[in-house]
Amino acid sequence: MKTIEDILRLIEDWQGKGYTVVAPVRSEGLVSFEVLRAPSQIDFDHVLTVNTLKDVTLPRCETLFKYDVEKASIEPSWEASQPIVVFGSRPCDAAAVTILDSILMGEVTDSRYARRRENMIVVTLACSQADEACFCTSMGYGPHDPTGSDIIGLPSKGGYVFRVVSQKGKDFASKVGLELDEGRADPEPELKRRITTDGIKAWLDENFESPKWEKVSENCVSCGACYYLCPTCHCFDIADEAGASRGVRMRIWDCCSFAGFTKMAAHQPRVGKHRRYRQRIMHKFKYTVDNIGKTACVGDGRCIRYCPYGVDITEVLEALRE
Amino acid sequence: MRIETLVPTVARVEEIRQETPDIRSLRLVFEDEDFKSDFAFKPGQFCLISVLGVGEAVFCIASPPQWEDFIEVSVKEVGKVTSAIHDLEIGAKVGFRGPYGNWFPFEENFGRSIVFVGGGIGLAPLRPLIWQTLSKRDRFRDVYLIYGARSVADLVYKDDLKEWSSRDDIRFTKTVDPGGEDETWDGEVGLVPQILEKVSPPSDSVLITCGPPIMIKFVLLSANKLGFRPGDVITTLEMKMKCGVGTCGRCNIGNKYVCRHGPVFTLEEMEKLPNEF
Repeated sequence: MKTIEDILRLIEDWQGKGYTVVAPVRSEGLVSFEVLRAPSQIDFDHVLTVNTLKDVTLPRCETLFKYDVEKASIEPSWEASQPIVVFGSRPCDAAAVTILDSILMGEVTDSRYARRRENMIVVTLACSQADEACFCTSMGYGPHDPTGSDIIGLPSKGGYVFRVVSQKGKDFASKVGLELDEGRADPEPELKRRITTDGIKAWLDENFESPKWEKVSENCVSCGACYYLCPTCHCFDIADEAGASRGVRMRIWDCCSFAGFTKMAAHQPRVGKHRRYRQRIMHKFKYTVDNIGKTACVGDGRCIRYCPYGVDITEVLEALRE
Repeated sequence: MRIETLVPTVARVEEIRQETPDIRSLRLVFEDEDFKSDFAFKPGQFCLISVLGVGEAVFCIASPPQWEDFIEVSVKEVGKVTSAIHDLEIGAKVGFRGPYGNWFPFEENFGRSIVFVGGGIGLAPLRPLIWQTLSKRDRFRDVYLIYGARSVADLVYKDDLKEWSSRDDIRFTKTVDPGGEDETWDGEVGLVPQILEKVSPPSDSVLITCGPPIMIKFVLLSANKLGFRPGDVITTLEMKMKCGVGTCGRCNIGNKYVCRHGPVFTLEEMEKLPNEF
């Protein structure tokens, strides 16, 4: 078993060995994944960060290339790749990474995503508590689920016992001299929120057209908060930020809730917020299942916690299937 | 496929043709010699053209692969990027990404008759396949082309049309919508689906169509009426696209990304998709 003090010493050691460590940091009441300056910044008491590991693998905004109109030059832009240890992700965060891997390193490889993933090690701290919005067990994961982690620390008597999950985690542990722990983990916390997903895919397969779509999207204001906070939403826009003769082309997060997402000069295939909300649900619980064999939802519950109008995806799924 | 995601190569505008009052074709030559020599595509595939500082938009490659030194795209002025493309002059540099997407079947149709049905700028994606088909003409039975536009002025590729009219190995029927004819017009007058039914090509042919969405819809109905098999009726679709490789998330119809699983679909495949087009 490792105590919090042991862990802080380990992280200091990793930083000393040249690893950039990204971990949950509390600031102004919110806990977010941030690049750690000092190990003491790590927050061990929260349930879940506000942001997700998308901030590491698929940044909100990134420069694809710089251009110069006069010279007609296009210069790809890429930050120096450095090894990153994500420390303190939750099992749902790590599971979400495997979903993005299947999408962005599958049939087509997004080279920027892939390079970041190659350099990233996921050291998860499994959950000792869950809140009202957590529903990972409904989506086939769990508070101590190792999916997507390279190393997982399981809560144990006020500290953590560390176990290796992947080959990458094994290599990392031997490289930094991380000793693995024997010892028993505490029992997993109980989740209050539980839905059954049986029949949801079958309903979606048959009900592209249904009056229920208007009903379940009634309270949605198309703000996109659920998209930005979702660990698996990955749609993006490409836009030029132009000066008179020089500029950059950016990739920026974008969201299927926005009307402009699919609007063409002469045609808009998704008129009305219920059609756009349908796209969100279909994409997560049908299209992704059809294309990669799993849903694009890990039950982290961020969309439930932070929706300004109380749209609750578990209630929506149950209402659709009823 | 591994892609250096989303970064274009530079191409030079070598020639500009004004096809109609609002459509221009651009002939593009790649600046990078390695890219140029490695470049290969099949009819039906598309590309993204960037006007640096304005943005990027999707176009089908409108020239056949056997024209090796350049590619052509045809651009209708409808929005921000297409207007900027219309403002370009010969010698201008643009960004090019591609080829992307799937393509029309070709060798698969050897030994069969082919019916091309185009409307307006919808001839652009068919044009490379028509030229490719004519380059291997002896491998096919009869080749039909039915092409129409709103008016005589709106017909694209007038030089190609003239050549196809004069050849006896392609049965070319041209038409304009009622009221779109002028005093010199020697083609049909009528909507494309009606002319298709009038020509009534044999229903064991492969029918390949592209045009405005409303025309495609009625051509598919006519094809059905004429007895074509849904698996032998092929079209190419357009949705808003950004990435071109199926990751940015906006061009899907149901679980199919038009940019990656398409843009070419058979009627049989389309019948399985939700009505989102």
